[in-house]
Amino acid sequence: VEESLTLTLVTPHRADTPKQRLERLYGECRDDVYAYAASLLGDRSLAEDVTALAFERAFRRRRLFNARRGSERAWLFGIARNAALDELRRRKRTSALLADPPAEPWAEDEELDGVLRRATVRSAVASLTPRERELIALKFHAGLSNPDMARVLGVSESNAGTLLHRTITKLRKACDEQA
Amino acid sequence: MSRHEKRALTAGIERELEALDAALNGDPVHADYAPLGELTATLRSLRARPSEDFARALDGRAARGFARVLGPADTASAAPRRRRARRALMPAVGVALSTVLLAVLAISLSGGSDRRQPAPVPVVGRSAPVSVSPTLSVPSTPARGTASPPTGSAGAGTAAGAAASPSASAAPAARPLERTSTLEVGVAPDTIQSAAQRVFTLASAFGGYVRQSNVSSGAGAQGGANFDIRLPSANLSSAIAALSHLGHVRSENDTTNDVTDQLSSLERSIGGLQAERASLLRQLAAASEAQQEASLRARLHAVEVRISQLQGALGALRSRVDYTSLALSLTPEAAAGATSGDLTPGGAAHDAAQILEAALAVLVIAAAAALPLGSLILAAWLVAAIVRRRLREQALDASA
Repeated sequence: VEESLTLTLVTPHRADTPKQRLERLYGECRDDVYAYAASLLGDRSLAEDVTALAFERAFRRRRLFNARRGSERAWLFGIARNAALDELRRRKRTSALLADPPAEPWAEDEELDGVLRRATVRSAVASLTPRERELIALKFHAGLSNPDMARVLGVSESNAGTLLHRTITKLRKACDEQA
Repeated sequence: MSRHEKRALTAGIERELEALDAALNGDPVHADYAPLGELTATLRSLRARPSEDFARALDGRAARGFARVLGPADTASAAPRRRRARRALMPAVGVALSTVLLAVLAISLSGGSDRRQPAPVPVVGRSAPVSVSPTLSVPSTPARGTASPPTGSAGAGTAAGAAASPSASAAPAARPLERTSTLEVGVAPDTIQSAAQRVFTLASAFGGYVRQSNVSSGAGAQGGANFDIRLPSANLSSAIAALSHLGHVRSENDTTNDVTDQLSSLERSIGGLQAERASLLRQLAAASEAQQEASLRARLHAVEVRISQLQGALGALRSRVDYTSLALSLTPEAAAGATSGDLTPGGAAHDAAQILEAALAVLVIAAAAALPLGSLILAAWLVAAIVRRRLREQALDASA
């Protein structure tokens, strides 16, 4: 009987440092954070400020992240949300009047149906309440999962799912009315 | 999502949410949910995208680890941010300051009530302090006259008492107390002699004197020393604290007796007799007959004798008030160790244990005081967090 012994050397995986993890998170979430801030604030310039501030705070507090309290993505969007709401408070105090974010320019080859559909949906979104618009921003612009949304909003997962479903239903109804 | 929470959503809602997630991930969606997929794609297309310039600038900052660079927006909000940072640090600073304050308070209180601590000795001489033991420093022998032992005469006794106990004369409201104390200190058998010498030095340093002493040295328990010490009452506590450092305190006893009534009674009697003497002197000056004059002289003599007796009694009483009698016994004790003067490992360990015990007591007191304070600060911090969160939510609601 010939016996063979195979030894497999397993290199232990060295965990990323908090800085490396955050650099990776930045690469994955930069555009999402910006999209979320722009939806919430309705101003591209302020959205840029808030995005930069959110990442700056995240880099500064990277050692405070606790994986048991949610994903890094939810943690980052929690910071971004606080920064955006602080900005909203400041804007309220200064009473600055800001316009909605300008619509993306039409592409040359875009069909009219598509353009109309986008205009309808945009108008329907504008008819929602701020909290409902935030849900839309977190789900469709930031691309958060329901558990992450729940963590950011400070509600239970089932509550987040219910709120999202209710908002989508309302949005579809508004779209039908607009059409 | 937990099983319980999943059950909370109806099957229809769950399916719609799953279809929505599938559409977001670019996966095929069931035909029943095609409109939902279409809506998802449209919403996704409305997503704002950062400008290339901003993305490039932000990438640069990310590469540098987001080091603080004050832009126009930052400049506007830099001061409020610094204020917020300071506010965030306030609870920690408050807790630290309170702990330090309480620790200092606890140490000072324990030092005030613990007579084992070497209390500061009143300066009765002009010379520099002389070190008596490694842990004790007392002034040298007082200048002549400042703490001279009381004599039998009332005037000298009162003067000495007043000089040695300024606090007693400065506080007229204090009731005069006659005190006697006994102190038994265990010292190492081979250090009886040196400890006895220190007793003389300490008694003198605290403005007192050794009235009587008996020192006997011998093997084992045969040795020992007894002292009858007179100390200014104002310095008694400090002196006992210093003497306690000669060794291990085995017993201590204090007796006080309020002599206010006795003092006032004696003073009234003397006053009455002095008035009587003055009257007799006037009658004597006016007397013309020899018999009357002889009678007055006899009465005058009797009054003066009585005055002298009462003044003696008053002086002795004041002396007992100003100077306390301390009966000190030094008894041989093998475990007394280094506290009797020599540095030995056992004595050092004993001292270290005492220091640790005191430090622990201070920590317990500080913790007892800091706990409610910390709870208050925590509650305030929680309330502030809740208010801040509510204000943020209000800002969102108001942004319609």
